[in-house]
Amino acid sequence: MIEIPENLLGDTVDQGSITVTREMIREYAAAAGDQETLAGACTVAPPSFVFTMRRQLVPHVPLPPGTFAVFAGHDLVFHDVVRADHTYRMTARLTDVYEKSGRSGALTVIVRTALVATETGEPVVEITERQIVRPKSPHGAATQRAS
Amino acid sequence: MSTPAFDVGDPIGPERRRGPDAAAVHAYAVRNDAPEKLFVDRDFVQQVGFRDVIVPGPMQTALLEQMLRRHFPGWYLERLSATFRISVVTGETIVLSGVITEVHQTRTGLRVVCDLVIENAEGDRATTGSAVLRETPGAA
Repeated sequence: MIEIPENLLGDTVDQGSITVTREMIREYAAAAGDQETLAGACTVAPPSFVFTMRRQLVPHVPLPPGTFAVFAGHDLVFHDVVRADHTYRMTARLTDVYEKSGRSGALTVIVRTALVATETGEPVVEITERQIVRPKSPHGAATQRAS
Repeated sequence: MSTPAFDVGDPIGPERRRGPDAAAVHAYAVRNDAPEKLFVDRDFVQQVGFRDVIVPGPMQTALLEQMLRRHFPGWYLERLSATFRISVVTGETIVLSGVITEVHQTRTGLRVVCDLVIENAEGDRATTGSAVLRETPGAA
């Protein structure tokens, strides 16, 4: 089981604010192969743009030696679209850490929630992310399952 | 009320395509400030048991989102969930598809719930998910 630093679980981390620009949306769309967004004015971001706003999986949880982590899934709830020339505030929280049995043995699941909100605090996108920590394995392609 | 244009059991896709290649994944990872070794370092990924660098989950989400946008043009995406069960390796052929599981007629239009899946080259359900979309006034 991963050792969680004291007070990390449940604490809300302020990830600061970000002002979205058309160029940011355009660059994201290009990287994601989103031709429809690229063909438009890029005034509204595609929903998955929130991942580029979020960037790092925080709060950061130090991993034990001999393990690595994979992104195992997410739940996104959209209250509004993300628009260019708007500023958003982001917060994140470590909400749960638990063990489960997977095909490759015991795995640790790290659950974080994040919120993208307007400057006045109105929720725009709620994000729940699940990350799985597992031992490094030398067994090749047979170990590609995330769980 | 208009007759729903969508019904439970209606398929979405399938869309068979080549998955993002290593260069695209590298560019995506750098763009998103997430140049993790799993996405950029072939030696590392093989050391930890993968065949090649893998496609980041959010990049797969973007592909599902784009498929939904093509199937429901102008609709509003309310929820999108995904579980990345098996890693998708760069460059492999993938198939994106979905099925409508619920259709609700509301005062403002339709709301649909659908299941989503990305199959890898072996036909495994590498990524599963679900989405909720709402018809918006003037949607095609």
